[in-house]
Amino acid sequence: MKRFSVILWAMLIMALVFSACTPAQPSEKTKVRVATDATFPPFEMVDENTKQLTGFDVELMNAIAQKAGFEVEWINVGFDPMLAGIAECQYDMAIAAITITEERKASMDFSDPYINAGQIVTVRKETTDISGKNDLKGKKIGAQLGTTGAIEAEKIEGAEVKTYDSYDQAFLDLANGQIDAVIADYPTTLAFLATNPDKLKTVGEVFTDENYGVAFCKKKADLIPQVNAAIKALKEDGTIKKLEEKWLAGK
Amino acid sequence: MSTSTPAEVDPHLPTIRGNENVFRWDAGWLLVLAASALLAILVLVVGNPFDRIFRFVLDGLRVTVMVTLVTFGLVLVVGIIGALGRLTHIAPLRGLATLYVEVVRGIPLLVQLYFWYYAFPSIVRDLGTQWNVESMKNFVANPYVMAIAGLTLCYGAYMTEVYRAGIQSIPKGQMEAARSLGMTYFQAMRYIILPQAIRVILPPVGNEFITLLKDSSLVSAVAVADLTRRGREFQAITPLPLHIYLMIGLMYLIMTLLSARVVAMIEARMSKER
Repeated sequence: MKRFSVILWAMLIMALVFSACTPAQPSEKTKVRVATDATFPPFEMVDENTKQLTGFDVELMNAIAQKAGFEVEWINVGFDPMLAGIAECQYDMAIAAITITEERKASMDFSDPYINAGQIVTVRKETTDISGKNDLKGKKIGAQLGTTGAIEAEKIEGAEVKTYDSYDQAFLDLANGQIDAVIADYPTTLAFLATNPDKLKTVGEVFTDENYGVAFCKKKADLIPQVNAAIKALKEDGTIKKLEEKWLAGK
Repeated sequence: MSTSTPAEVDPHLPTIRGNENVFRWDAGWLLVLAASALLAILVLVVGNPFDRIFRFVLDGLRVTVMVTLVTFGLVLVVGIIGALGRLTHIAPLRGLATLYVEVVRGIPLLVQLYFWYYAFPSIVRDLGTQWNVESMKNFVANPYVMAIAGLTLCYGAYMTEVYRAGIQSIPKGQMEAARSLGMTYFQAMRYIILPQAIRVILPPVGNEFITLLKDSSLVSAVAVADLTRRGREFQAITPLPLHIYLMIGLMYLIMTLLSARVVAMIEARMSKER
């Protein structure tokens, strides 16, 4: 029984030590807790070899931090808990291909958009008669069921809309010549083209207004101007363009 | 552990020590061996993508083991405090312990983990604002601490019931005899009741450990990079659900089979010391 009580005491002490170690030591460079959900390539994922976070959003946030002069402490968590954590100020910021919506604005603040996630038209490489959304009248258009892309496709006069369970099925059908065009999110489209560069291309401009932004806990609103200034600078010096080319492939 | 010194064992009792090996070959060990062999074949012989998955999730395995062991150590303490509370004659303490067990047992572990990681810190921050305490205002939860706290409180409730049942299985006369010898309540508990109860509760305690090991996968929901979370991350970069969950399932299986064997060995040793 002696041994048993020694173990008990050891456990108790361990419990105390654990409960005592609360973080938040101020360092010279302000540490900013940034949440993400590293299961959404090519925006955020874990590198297989280095096991570090990587992807478009991760590199962008690191660049923003460098410009704005703070230090990033990454927290990798699921998407829903991440949004809940931002609303509860468990994290200072979040970046994870988060679309800026009015609903979300009620519980968190957003930076300026850093990438337009609106809809864009994709066609086969050899297609010449479609150079944008306005040429789609009477064409066969594919889209993912239930997405903004499908809604936009329905709006086009005389077009025949085919819906699919996922983007890649629509793109596959397009590549096989079953349909004339696909309407899908810009970043998703670029990511698909990055891995399948041979047969497809995007045409025209992004034509709806949906944007990805950095989300902020409402109490950390003082960070927003710094981050916005950094995003502006990174757009101007071409860093964001380079990141798009690196992670999402060019047009 | 059943008696404080070996000298107290009655020398006239027949002993089976030495005649029987605690480590016995049986079907359980064969299962451990077979599962480990399967893992080794997948990683070393079949290789890609199993070796890639294995390397990727390895540090998640470390986290899972660490979280499970630390939690279990704490659970053993919480359980005994809870059980003494359940059995005490002091009504408020007994009520408190009962309330704890009933409330915690009735709420899913996942919900509890979410509570400790998301809701609890926001309560602390709100109180900090109210009382104007700077350190509480900026309270930020450490995912590991909160995950371990959540698991400990949940499993502490189950362990409370295990201990309670064990202690109650010892005849009342034992306590009465000890008390009439002049022992205090706690002395009687420590030297007479608990040593006997431990033998009774060992199998269910082992069972709790194995369940805890598996349920620790839920901490992946609160930002802890455990085995399960690592698997999710690998699936995001390379969608290979079959390979990934086969690998992770096998790793959990080996750990649980191994723990079951260790518990069986401890049980065998305990039963000999009788």
